[in-house]
Amino acid sequence: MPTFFILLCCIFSAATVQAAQTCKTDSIPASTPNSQLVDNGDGTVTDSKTGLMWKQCLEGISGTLCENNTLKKFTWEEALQRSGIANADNGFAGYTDWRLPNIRELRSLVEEQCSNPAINLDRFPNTPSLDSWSGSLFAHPSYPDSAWIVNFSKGNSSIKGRETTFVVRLVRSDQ
Amino acid sequence: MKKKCFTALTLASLLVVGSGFFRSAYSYKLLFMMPPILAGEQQGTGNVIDWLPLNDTGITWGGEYPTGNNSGCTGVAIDAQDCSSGRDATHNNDSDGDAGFSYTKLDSKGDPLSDQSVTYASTPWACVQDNVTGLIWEVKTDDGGLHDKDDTFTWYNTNPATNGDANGTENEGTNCFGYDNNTAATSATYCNTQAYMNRVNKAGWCGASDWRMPTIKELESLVHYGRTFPAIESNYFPNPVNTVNWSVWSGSPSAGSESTAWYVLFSNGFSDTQSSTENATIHLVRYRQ
Repeated sequence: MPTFFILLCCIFSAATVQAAQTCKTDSIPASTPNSQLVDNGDGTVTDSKTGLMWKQCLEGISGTLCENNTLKKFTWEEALQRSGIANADNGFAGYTDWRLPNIRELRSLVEEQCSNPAINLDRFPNTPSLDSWSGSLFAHPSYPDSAWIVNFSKGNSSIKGRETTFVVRLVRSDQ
Repeated sequence: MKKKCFTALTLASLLVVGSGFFRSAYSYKLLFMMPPILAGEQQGTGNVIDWLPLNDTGITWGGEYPTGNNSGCTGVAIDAQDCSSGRDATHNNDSDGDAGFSYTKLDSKGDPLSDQSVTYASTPWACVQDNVTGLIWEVKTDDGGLHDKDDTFTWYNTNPATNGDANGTENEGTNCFGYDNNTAATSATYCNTQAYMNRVNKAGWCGASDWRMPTIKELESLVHYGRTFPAIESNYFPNPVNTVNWSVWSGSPSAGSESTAWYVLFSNGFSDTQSSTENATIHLVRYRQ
């Protein structure tokens, strides 16, 4: 995996899509190694640790390296509605139960040995170091306009206003 | 070796049963995947489990756009909101923990309390088993002893395979049980994460001596996102430290910078990184045998 990451970093920096990812492959155990994330070959990735199936590309982009079309950003309401769009017309990859991940599911995607972005770029190529929406609300009554996000630059979780626009990656429970 | 064997089994089950892979893999894991955890092992070494079912979040209500939360699971595009799926919706039984959480109280020997409905004040328990993730957690005490809730530690790990290229901070905190800074021979008493883990394993706790620092994702599995101040199931994890600013260390170092590591702020459920010099509390973990 280290070689692959280096290769990917080269490709992406050449394409000026994003700054280079850095990974501490020798001093931090991988939390989402390729052996755990199964590439299903149909634009989906199955996490054998959690039992979740993820769309390989963020909403808006497509292709085997998620290199086609344009990345989209959504308000929290639009992010919620996005799953309905993905599930229409026979859905995606034959599944019609895609949904916005909850905060714990979204955090489970974070690769702890990498940053900028903190994700396995082999399985989730062309992922930018951006905030990504979850479908989880923030519980404290002083923040009735907030919901949870994961910042994939570092991998931390936080809350943001629902009118802010962020990227979206859809998930489904693989029963 | 056991891990490789298991991976082979997983792949085999994938090939054989196709879409039924997870149920099969889960059975295999129950049967074969009980990873041995070595006593005295340094934090974060190769004992991280391969199968970690996620807890649900604890969020049982919906919200509106652009603002407003409801008391029940209603709101904008409600089918796509958190409250509509997961254990909070399918296994919402408060008798074993709020909403979809399922915990078992364990006594000082590690055995389940015969009466799970007791309060901590009447019958204090020593550990809690999470029945969803399979993790067993240290419960803090309020007795001024080794496990006291108010003790804090700096982050320290001398294992180069797991420390993110920096050992962290060995001896800058003084706020823990038994601390002795008088001679160089007392480093075992220091208030850092590694020394504390070793002390607990030397003494034993809940019948076990294979306690370790949790990874950040394991630690986050305790977050109850449906609550704040504190964001944890306090009916099972009593003795919150300081509900306004309660940070708990994980054993996971930060990939982005050296001498920093991940913690969970159990005041509100945030996870982030901070300098190893910071003082924070600890919930040690082990995997159910």
